[in-house]
Amino acid sequence: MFPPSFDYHRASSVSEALSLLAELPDATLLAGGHALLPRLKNGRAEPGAVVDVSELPELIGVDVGSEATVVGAATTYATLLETGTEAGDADEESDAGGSVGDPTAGRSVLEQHAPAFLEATRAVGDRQIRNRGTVGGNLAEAHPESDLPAAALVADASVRIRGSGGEREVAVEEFLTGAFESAVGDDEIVTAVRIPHVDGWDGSNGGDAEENGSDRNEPTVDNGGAYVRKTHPTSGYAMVGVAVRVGIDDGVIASARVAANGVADTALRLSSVETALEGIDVTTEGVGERVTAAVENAPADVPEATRRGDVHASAEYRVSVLPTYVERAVRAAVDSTEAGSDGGPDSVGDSAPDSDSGRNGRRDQQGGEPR
Amino acid sequence: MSEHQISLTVDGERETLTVEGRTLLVHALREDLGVTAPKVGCETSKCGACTVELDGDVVKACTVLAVQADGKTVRTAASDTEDDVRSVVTQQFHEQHGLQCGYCTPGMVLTAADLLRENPDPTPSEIRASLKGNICRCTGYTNIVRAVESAASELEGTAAVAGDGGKTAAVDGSAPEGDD
Repeated sequence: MFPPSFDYHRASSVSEALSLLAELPDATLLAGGHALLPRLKNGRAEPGAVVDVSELPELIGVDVGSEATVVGAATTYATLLETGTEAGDADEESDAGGSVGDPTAGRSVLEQHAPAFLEATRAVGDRQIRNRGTVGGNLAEAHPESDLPAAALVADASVRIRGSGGEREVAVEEFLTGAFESAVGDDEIVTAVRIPHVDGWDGSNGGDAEENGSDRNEPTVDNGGAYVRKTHPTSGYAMVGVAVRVGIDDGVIASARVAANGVADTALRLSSVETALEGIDVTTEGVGERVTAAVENAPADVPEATRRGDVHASAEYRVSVLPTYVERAVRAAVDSTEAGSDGGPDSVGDSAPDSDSGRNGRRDQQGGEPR
Repeated sequence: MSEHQISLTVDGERETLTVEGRTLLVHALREDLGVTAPKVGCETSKCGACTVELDGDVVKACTVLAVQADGKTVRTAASDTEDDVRSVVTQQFHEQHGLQCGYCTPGMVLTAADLLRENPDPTPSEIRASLKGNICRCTGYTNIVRAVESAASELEGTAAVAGDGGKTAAVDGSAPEGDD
């Protein structure tokens, strides 16, 4: 299979790339290439020009700030995993992670604040694809079965977009407008993904430290997260993928973010599940049953009109297994918190059929039959 | 249609050639340069037969434009190597019969070596997860996993891999888990 002919341009800066997009007829962007090149080969895209931004230094890198981590759009999954899991210097400099008995000690800033995002990144494709594909490209592609969108939703992430008129920042919820459709215009470029740090997150605003006034020196939330999916063995994409972030306060789920990939035209938050999870005490007997009850109505959070099915898995099937995967993700997220890892009388994770070991293990399960 | 003169190092040789913008790296390597270790398999970045190292990272050469490799270093499984890790992996694929038809082998060897450089003591499930992007239609993977484990044992304590390993060669023929 050969791609059709096109003119190839390697941009030397984001501004040059923007000019090229504006000047050249039918121009499209190339970053990691794992969306565009297959589409060129199978005839679903025939651009006149391809503008390569994959090596622009201004689009590459993981910038760990005090209130947010900003991931350059052309940062590969592999680079994010490498730099995002280094127990951060930034943390030490801001004196945020070193207190005695800190449950998060030894975890990198992103592992503390966006564990589900890292897990989803780890689940993307395979080793070679993670070396090439990019974080910004993933979100801009807006593949409904891709792993990152749900994880970006529960991280309260936003996407930075630059056009001729300047840069704007769009929340992921507004960024994902449909299957393979996003808020980035034909003459614009996704420049970065911003992941707010959540210490002080109280569940009421999902905001970051700068908004709610607390600072990261006094973590108030025992934060955990997970990403669990059912992968189609041929496509490699998620038929159902669920990202969860929980904040636990005094043993109780104080706040929850739950989002799913694969079941609808876009990744979407499961808000009734979030509400039902809040208030669950994870340290007492019966937590398993309470979580099971809380996730039961997950299908109701997926509007009928947006439900997605294909030759691999019908919409009915995807929605019917959704609660199972939500439950697994919630259990794994709770287990990743300090409260959940205490191994209390009824540790929620005991019955979770986790396919791999460890907090950083992949949770890519195939066994999930509907209950 | 644009044409580009590119220069790259392939298996230690400096090469200069002219490619179309649309030319895929795997085609440039095989058709223009006669470097046939990377195979053309699925051409959809699923099977891993075309795997090469591009500036040290394993990538699928069917999903990289040749022009994007301009100025870079490509290494294939056929390169003469001072790389002990890959030599040992290759030898162990032979010793453990980690191949039948051999079509997937160049990609398997590169990906496995990449894993061992990062994690010198992988578990069988880590090996299987790492080779997710390399499909074999012959072996059933058991001997491939065994070959990677043997290579890890062989490399234990050598300077070629980081860390001290503490490896036990637990040869395990368990079924693939988790992934496709």
